[in-house]
Amino acid sequence: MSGNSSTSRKTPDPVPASGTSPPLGDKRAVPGLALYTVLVPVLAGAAVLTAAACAPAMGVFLAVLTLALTAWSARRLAGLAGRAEGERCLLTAKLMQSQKLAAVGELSSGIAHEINNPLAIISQEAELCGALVEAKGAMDPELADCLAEIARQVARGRDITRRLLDFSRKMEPVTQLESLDRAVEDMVVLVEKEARLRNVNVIRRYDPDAPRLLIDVPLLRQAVINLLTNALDALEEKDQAGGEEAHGTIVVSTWRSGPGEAAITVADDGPGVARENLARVFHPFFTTKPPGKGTGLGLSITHNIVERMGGRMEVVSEPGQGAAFTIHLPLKGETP
Amino acid sequence: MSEPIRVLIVDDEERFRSTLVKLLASRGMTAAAAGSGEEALEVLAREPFDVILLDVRMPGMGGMKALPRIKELRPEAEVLALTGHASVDIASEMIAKGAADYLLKPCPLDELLDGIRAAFDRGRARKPQ
Amino acid sequence: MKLLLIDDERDFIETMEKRFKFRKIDVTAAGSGAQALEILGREEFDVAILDVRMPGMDGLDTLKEIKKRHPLMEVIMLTGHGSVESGARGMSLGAYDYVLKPVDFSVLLDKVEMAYERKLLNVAKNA
Repeated sequence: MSGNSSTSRKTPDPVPASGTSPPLGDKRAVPGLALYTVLVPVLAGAAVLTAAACAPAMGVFLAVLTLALTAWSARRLAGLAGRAEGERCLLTAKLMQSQKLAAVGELSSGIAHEINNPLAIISQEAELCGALVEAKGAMDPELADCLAEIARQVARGRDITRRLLDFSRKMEPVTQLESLDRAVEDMVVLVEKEARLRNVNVIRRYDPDAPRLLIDVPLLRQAVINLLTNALDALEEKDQAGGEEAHGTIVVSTWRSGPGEAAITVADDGPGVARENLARVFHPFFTTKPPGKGTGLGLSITHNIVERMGGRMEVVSEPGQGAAFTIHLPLKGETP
Repeated sequence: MSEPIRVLIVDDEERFRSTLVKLLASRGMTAAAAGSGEEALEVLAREPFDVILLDVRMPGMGGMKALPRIKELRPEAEVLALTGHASVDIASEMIAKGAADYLLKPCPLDELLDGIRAAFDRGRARKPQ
Repeated sequence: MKLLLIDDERDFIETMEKRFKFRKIDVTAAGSGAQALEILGREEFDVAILDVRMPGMDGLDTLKEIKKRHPLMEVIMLTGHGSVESGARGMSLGAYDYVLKPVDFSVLLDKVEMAYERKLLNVAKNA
């Protein structure tokens, strides 16, 4: 295994910019501002007064010093303002992304409901067609095959709409105090058994002081098993792409991703996500799998579940070296 | 020979109703149709049915509203919710209001026939002889 | 708490029944999904332990019917052969947990208690 893949394995340091909480930057800027708005002007003023009172040579030196000081100060201020603006943009982008996903989710479940009605009519017409032809004694194998194909495609459409409708489960989360690793362990055990058959290693990196949090336990399990399924699928893709014997690895870690936040990361060393697709992995129907294989709903459903739990999701990937999906959860009700 | 099962289809999609009436008739059932909750109540006031297939979302009176009134009018009839509106919450609400089952459209004909027969048998078993 | 055990394996059911009764838990057994639904039609239960692989109506179908009719009841799925797809489906159908057999009894008991707590929270919420 290459050294690169270990970067995806050592997950607990994903995306630098979005990983840290934005308000922190603002707080750090406050003492900085005092420096630029009070200290620098006072120094400049003092320099001018001193220059007036002493020798011209000294005055030139002081002027140069003041010039350097103010120029530096202005630059730093501009930099601070730029960074704040950047952070605000990032926040806005994140908010828009999450609103967009929510809207897309709502839209797709609306469409799913609407599509079920025409699907029902199509399947009935095909049934009636078959019955009519049969009654006339005119059914031939090719026609029977056509009708059966219509039924199969209706079933395929129905599978898609059913999956979409996972979105519309409006049951409010019910929270219980549970430790993170206990909440996810059963899903890991389940996946581990199938993974072994596929030559995939599952490694646990549970935080020994895993916090207990107030969480909807089955909802979290659903999110986790979806991520694990996604990782297994990714490794299967790699298996098919590379001819040589592939040994995939999935690493499941629990860790503290910040003050008041716990996280679960599921990382694989599969083909990873292409940079241009990173922003889209949580969109419903986004899939890199061939048609008919997977509806591309797993990750968007997971994203939706995590938002309902009050958490957020993040993906880090280096194409060709794997991907790491992280669920960040607020540490409400943590016992000290 | 036992009496044919009498089925009322309540759905706002005209073509869905008419084709299903023919399909059920071809399987030895007696079927009639209504296009809304209001129409269903009218039909039910005139004649009895064993099993009622009820759509949840219809213009005018939808299934959710019609269900308790159908049950009031014809307590002996079994109601099967048959709808494209898939939601666990709506399913359990319909069942709580007295529906025998909740089937999702599109539903393969054999599954639907099984559902109708199961509901019919259930209705029979409930009825004192 | 009222617990329903749904499994077609007689031996397993008998052992489990004894162990839960020993813990003073009110437990009833059902040998199939259909029988479980029939029992649930008459009596209310808090938690069910449901075997995934059964002849006739399988565990996932049974789970779906249970959740349709008794949405507040919590269901713990037990499986002998871990299938990821089946697990993902079970969880999306509203199972409380999906556990690979063999499972330590005290661990299972703990899960049953957590599931029961969730049911009570849900009932209180919907009251």
